[in-house]
Amino acid sequence: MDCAGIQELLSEYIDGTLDAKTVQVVEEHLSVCVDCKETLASLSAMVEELNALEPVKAPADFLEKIHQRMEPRSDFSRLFRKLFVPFKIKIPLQLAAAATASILVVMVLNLQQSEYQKMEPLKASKSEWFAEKPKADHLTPEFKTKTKPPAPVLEEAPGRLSDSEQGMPTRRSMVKKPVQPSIQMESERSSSVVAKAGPSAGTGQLIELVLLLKPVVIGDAYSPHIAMQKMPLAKGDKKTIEKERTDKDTFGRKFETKQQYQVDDLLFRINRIIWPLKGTILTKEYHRHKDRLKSIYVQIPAKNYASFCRELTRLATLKTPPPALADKSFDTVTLHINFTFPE
Amino acid sequence: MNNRIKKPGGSSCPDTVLIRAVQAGDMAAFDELVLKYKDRLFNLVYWFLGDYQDANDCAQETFIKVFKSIKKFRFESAFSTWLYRIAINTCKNKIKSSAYRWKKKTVSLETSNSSKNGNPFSEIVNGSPTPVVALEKKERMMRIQKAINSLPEEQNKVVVLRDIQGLSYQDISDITGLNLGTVKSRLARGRLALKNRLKGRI
Repeated sequence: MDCAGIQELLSEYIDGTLDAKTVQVVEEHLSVCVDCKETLASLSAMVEELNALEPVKAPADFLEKIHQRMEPRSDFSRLFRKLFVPFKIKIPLQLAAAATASILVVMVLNLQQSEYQKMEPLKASKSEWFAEKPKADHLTPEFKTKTKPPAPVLEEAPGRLSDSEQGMPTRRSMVKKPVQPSIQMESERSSSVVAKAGPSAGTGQLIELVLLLKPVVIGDAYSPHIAMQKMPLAKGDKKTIEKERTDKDTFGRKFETKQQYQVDDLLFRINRIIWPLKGTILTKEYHRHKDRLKSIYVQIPAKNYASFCRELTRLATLKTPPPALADKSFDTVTLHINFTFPE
Repeated sequence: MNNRIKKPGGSSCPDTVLIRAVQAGDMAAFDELVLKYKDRLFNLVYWFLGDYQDANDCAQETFIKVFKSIKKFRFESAFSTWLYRIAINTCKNKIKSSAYRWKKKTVSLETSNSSKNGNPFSEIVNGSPTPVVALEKKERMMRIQKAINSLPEEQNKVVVLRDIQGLSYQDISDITGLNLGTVKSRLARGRLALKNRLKGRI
């Protein structure tokens, strides 16, 4: 028998469970094989060592602990054990879960807040426009009437704006507005001097501007979620986002698009230019029996005049280039902007 | 050489009487059974798991299981065999449990303090003639424990039952449900493997 076979038998040889014949075979091999003899010696020593190990005793309170564990537990302590035992594992996990949940809550709240902040200026400007209209105007929802022919909108400045960005609103009722400021802006220069006759006598100069409008396809329904989508866009994103905002509402539903103008939309766009420049719309003039804006009077700080003209040219084409300010001593300047619609 | 096999220690009251009393609802008899077998069972469980707290938990759980299922005990085997069988299954479940794996993966910070809870090494220190001898003994015991725990479960079980508990091949066969030949071959391989792992340490 080879060494491997003998070594398999050494365990039983130590325990004395081998029969006499096998014992003889093993002993004959051991008498000639030094390796197997050494293995036997170390195995025997190890077995002796293991046998001599001091037994590990149970703690003194062993029986007591068993009694405690066998006692019927109340529902509360059972629930407590289920939720928190073992503490080392469950408590860190629960803390981690709580931390994650609170981070999520904070993030969601922050997102909502930032959306509200975006909406507020829109709401404010929109409500003011409606406040100026007669009640009858509110009662007939504009977006339901589809019989109106496409009306002209701001004419596109070649190579500057995409078609969709030029969407303009329609207005069915003609309203002649009293001369009063429509939006009261916070401006430290509101006490400006009037130089010429006009709706806002007291300002330095009345400048006449004519904007050329042209038809464009826009969404007909005007509602807050669409207003949200009409927030200023980054230049690079214009094409894609414009497409989305004309085709879909916030919930991804398609809504109908029509060639129709809305006065609100035009005013909204102009307000978007005026607001950041600290200007106000003083009056609005409408075409008789037409849902179109004829002209508006705008008052803006003189220092922002150039920026305003630049923004206007982004919105539509100016019939004549804006004149330079003749008298720069005045704080504010009043502009009379006429809208020209192609028939 | 067979005379080294340790037999379970006797009690003033035979197991059969105690078990029948427990089956009849006598809690005092159960306590006596626990007191009679607790150290033997604890030693077995400790060498299986290699952790004092786990062994304590597992040994308690074993006795609770025994109490719950003692009415099903039909005296077909020795009570100790039945008890050890339950203990081995409880240990297996413990090893499989996620909490035990988690504990194994993480470094236990309590190891240094565990002697307060009746850790065997503290008892060695008390009974040792000199601190140096005690320390050597402690280290040797730790090495053996590590080596035994590193054996495959099938070999570990047989080596512990035979060399630490001192049970006979037949007892091991009854407890584990393996046939005698398998017990012998697993023990032979387990001992050789353990010897190689402890080479030069004993």
